[in-house]
Amino acid sequence: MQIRPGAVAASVLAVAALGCDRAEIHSYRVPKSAESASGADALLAGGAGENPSLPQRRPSGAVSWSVPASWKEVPTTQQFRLATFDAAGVEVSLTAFPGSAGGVLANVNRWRGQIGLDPTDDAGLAQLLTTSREGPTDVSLLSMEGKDGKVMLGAIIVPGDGQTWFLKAMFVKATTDAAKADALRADFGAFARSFRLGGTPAGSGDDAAAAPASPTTSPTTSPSNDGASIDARLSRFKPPEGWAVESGGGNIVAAAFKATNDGGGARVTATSLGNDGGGDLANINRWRGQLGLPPLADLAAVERSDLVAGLLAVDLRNADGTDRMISVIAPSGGSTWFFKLRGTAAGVEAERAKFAAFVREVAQGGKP
Amino acid sequence: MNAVLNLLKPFASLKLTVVLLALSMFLILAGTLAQVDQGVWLVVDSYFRSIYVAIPFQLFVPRKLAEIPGVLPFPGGATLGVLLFVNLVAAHLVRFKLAWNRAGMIVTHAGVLLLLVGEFVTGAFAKEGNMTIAEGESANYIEDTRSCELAVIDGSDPKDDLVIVVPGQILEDAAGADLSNGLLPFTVRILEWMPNSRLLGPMQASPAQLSRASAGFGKQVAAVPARVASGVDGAGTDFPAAYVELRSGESSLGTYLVTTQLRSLQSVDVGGKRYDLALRFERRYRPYTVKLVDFRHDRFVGTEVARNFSSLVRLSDPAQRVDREVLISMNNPLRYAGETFYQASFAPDDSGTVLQVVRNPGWLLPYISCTLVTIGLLWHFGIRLAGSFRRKLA
Repeated sequence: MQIRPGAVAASVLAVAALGCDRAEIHSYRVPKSAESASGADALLAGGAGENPSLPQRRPSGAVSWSVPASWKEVPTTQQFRLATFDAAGVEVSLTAFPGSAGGVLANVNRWRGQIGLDPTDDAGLAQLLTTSREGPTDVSLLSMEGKDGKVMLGAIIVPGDGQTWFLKAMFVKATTDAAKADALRADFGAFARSFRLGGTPAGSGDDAAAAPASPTTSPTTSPSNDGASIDARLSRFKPPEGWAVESGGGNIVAAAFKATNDGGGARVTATSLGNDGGGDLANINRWRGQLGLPPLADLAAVERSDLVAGLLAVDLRNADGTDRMISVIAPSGGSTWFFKLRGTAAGVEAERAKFAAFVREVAQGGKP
Repeated sequence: MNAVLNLLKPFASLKLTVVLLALSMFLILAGTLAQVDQGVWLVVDSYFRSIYVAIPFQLFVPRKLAEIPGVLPFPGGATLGVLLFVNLVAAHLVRFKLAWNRAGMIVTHAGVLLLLVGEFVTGAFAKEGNMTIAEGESANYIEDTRSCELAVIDGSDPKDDLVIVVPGQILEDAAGADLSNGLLPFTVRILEWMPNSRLLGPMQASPAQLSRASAGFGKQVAAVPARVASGVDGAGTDFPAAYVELRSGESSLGTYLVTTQLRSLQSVDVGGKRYDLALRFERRYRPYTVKLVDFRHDRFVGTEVARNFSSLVRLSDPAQRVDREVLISMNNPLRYAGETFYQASFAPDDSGTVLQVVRNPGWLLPYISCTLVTIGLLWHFGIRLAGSFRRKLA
């Protein structure tokens, strides 16, 4: 076989020439209405005069809420939905839209359509809604039973951040036992009433800063999945000699201990967060930031500590070696636990072995 | 004529065909494995529609076993496709004989050539995007969620908005550098580019993360890099984001977080004139509008299992004097102006629809080529079968 290089090169160049269509910076004009109020930008923005800006995937204001202990946040695959919860098999969805999002009546009628009910009017709406004011937050709750035994729980929440929040759950009466339905109603109402503008941002305190992730402020006593067993083990944990239980460690810290030793002492904390807690790398980089260390681009670049077999641990020191932190990340079902030991270099070294035993016992169920 | 045939002879080699097919098979294997780390469309572009590809050795060895550095330089799908095309054409030209017993193979190979041409046309000209419409609203643009753009909007004209668009690829290439252009009212310094990102809400982000932006919504939310969705992640969409500093002359106009996850426009004041800024999925405007009249999401009785999705839309194209209602449902797309609108998804609470809009001038070619290959093979093997029967009967 004889192949002429010139002919091959010509073929390849021909392909190369066809492949060159790089986009450039350009401009165009569009009618005002097209640019500002069409398509997804207007999605659910509602009636005339509303600002048709945007459905957002995450809160735009500092709105906080408390998720019922038995609910589990599950990954949201739907565009525009802020969060999805699994409430003992019933899906609860949370969305938020700017302004009044088309008005309460329009949204309730849309929900009615979904369970096969005819639209209602203002008078009917007034009978459906149970409205209350929780601080500055207006909460309207409703429960409707439609065709095929479908029951819809809805909440329209206006916490004062310029958005309207919608909470929705739907289940089939015939296939849901009464106790479960009652529990769902109670949790649903409590969740809706927990919305508030402001709240305690996770970044406000030392260990609040140590806990990065979820927008939810789950009660620290609320176990989920495997987390229940860690929680239980943590409640049974007897601090070793030299460790004293701290009270008021922070609103998301499950347990905190003050360790006293000759090296200057140290502090031990255990924190649980939903899902992956914001991700391993994000947490490690935040801890590095607390010690004045530069962030890492990749988890592969993290220097791992072998403190506890099977768990990701890092042993970090600041530039002059005076401040030291050992952190262990323990995924547990639908949540992630973060164990931290922080103090002076000598203080941490003195507590290292006890801390490792603590993590093994609480996170892995190992013997103390 | 003989000179042309002599030139083509090296390309007509059957050995070349075998080598090219073997290389193609290896490329498909590598491209499939690459989807463990990369998105399917990135793989399509970098492996199958490229001239050259650098295949990491690591693809073939699980990372748990060993970390293997280095890459294998390899011809891309475009190169192999063109060479296969040339090889097949050259073979027929060099050894061309018109005879009934060869007609089947000629038609079959014509079908294969058309298939190669069809993929080239699709790769070069096909465009896909989404049209998201809330019930009762209209849309006149298509969004391509595979690419993004930075839009700078001058709304000073009471009638029209002037939209200056910087394609995402240019932003990515300029990461860490300054970007200026005669169309842009300011210089854009790309402080950090994130091909995929995760948003941290005000309760999630640390003060340091929230202090990265000095203006706009970046003071309330922060973005951190996320792993680019790979081909094994299912229907993963990447949400690019960037921290950009806008500069006018020597002065800074502020550092902004721009992200495709938030659709808010952020205003920038340049010498008393207001511009709006947004990083968004690439938009392509159309001369027609589609209004969503009604969206239906029918479920099987007593369950949440979807039975049917459908969108009743009103299509308006004043220039073509078109104004009609069309029902788009699963397997019943709307074809209009060279584009096909499929029912793809829906907004939460069934409040709107998401239509997938596909423009592919070569959509018919695979059907024609498969028909040709079928006819050619039936013809070829029919003649062989007839010959075999004749020999048996003789």
